[in-house]
Amino acid sequence: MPDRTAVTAVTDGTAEGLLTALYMYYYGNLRPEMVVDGSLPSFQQTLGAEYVFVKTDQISAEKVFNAIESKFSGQTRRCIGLSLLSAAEDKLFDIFRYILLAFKDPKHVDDREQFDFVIRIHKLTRNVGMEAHLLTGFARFKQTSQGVLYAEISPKNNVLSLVMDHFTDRLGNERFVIHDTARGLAGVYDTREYIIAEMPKNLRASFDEDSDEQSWQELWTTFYNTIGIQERKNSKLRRQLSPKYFWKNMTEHQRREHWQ
Amino acid sequence: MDILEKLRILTDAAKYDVACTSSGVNRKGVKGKLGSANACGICHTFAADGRCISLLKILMTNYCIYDCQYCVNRRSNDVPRAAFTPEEIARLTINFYRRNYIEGLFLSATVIKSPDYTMELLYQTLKYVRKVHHFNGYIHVKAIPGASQELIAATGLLADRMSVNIEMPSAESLALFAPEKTKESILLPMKQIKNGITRSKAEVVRYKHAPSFVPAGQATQLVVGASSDNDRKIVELAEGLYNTYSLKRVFYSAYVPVPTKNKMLPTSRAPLLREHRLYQADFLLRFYGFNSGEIFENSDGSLNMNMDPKCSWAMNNLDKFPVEINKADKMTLLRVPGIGTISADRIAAAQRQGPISFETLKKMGVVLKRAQYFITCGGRMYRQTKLNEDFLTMTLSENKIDERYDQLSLADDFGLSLLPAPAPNFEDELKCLTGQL
Repeated sequence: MPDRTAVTAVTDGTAEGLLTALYMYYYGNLRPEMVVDGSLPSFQQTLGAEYVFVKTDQISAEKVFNAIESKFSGQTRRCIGLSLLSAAEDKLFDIFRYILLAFKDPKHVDDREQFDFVIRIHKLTRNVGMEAHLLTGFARFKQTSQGVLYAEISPKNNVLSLVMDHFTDRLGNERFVIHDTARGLAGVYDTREYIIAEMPKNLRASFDEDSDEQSWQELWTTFYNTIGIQERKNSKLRRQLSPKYFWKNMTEHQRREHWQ
Repeated sequence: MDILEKLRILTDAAKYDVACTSSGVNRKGVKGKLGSANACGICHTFAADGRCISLLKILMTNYCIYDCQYCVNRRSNDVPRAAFTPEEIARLTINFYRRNYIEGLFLSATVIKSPDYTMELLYQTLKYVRKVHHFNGYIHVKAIPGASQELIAATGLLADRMSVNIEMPSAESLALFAPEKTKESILLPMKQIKNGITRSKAEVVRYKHAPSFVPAGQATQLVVGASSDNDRKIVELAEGLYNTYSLKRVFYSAYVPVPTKNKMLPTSRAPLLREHRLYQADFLLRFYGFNSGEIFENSDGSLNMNMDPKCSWAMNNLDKFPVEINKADKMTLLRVPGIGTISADRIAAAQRQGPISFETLKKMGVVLKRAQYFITCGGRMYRQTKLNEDFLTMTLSENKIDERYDQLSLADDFGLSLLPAPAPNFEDELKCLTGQL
């Protein structure tokens, strides 16, 4: 076996970048021992390692994407899609290996938990799916006098698109904006379709609160404080089920008057 | 009285009802209507007692003609009374829903004037919310025992879930504490609802647009520890309800003392650990293929407080262990203490892919804390331990953490986050993680 140094593939961090790397695996003899996201601030090259910079190519990416679409099961595609949204910085190589395995064995890839990276992908998928699911409950809209519902979220993973999918179905007749303050992105829905675009941090300032908004918030907070059974207080359980990092965007936790 | 005060009174009056799940039905958004429903259920916040809040849980009114001793709303109790109008309920529901505070409405009522009158009131309100305000979200409504069949049938077409609360686990305790109610008067509407669901399901198969009747199924609630009924009686009752009335859920609520002059009611609250054990037994019935006879094998009729019911069963059946992980089928795996439905599914899937070692089990996330004593992988046990009853009783006993359990037990009520899910699909997994099952 000839000597060769470990090759690290460096992508631009986008899904297309990863798909291009996969294309190069099949058609360009790229055999990486690691796949990293070169756009991360934490990325730095070390001596003695060999780096291949993957130049994202839309056409190659699309070819791989179409193959994934036609060959993989819904569950596998969902795992790939959700783990790509994960905030874990070292996710790319696991997704890379997962997709390679899926091309080899598209039917059983998700049963093959003997491979660490399959377990990892399932974990990432659960983590991202769970956060998006929690936000479908924890996001809070405010009525603005412009007639638009406005919500702020600050999730750990990039789940805005998943959250938008949920609310466009649920509030299909309403115009609304969901602002991911952690990433400076906002999803905007106009009763027909939504777009996700970069927005300034002070997006909130462009809206005025509706005159009734405060009284609805008060009613809700009253309900929240009354519904708990005082004799059965359990703060630890509450914290486990609704982690505190969600609270800053939840009306009932911001208007604090409740018994602790 | 302003709406804020009404909301305070009628929420306070509804808070002891434990069922607040919004699961069981999938409904897409519809043009011109507000809302959708999600089969896995969505928790919108958690109250300070750790319970999930997903529905606007309120009473229509708390004026009551009955005098059930265990109930805060009984006519002889001196509490502030109020009543909502259908318009007020609709406005609260719609405005809370648009701001994503809630998943829908949970409407209950005490019995005002007569059962029929009350049921009519609930029906009118639901109709108003659904037809005038075009609300398409989740609605859970109480069926009032003694109300006419036509009213219950009409209401069921507007609701996603209906429930009749049994509260007292036996006819004797009902006679003792709720003299105006009888076992028959409670079971009759349950039967009606069950028949309605069966009929509606058959119709939906034949006609695509047949209206669906209570698509998310029916539920009930039992108060634990107010009467002298033991655990066996309660679990047997639940089993009967699941089998005969196809209930989706039976909820258990440890009795919290209400101010009363009745000497027969306990003055202290029932231990939450008992409620916790009942929920565990309930899960064994629904997802683990157990029956009540097995749960109470060699038992005096109360659940073992020191260990969970599955552990207790295993102690009584040590001859069935150890189980070989590489060979056992799913139903056998489910009977191993410490292995839940998610783990059982994962093991069953991995069996088809190759040999499983303890290392693999750990990576899969199977918790070996209790399971290790009852399983072998490739013929080997995890450690050199014997299946000795005394040793296992000592090792698996939880009594050292009794106090903590008082805090934790509510987890079972709604935060089943730590317990396994019934089926392998993603929605069920979520349902379980968020406790909406």
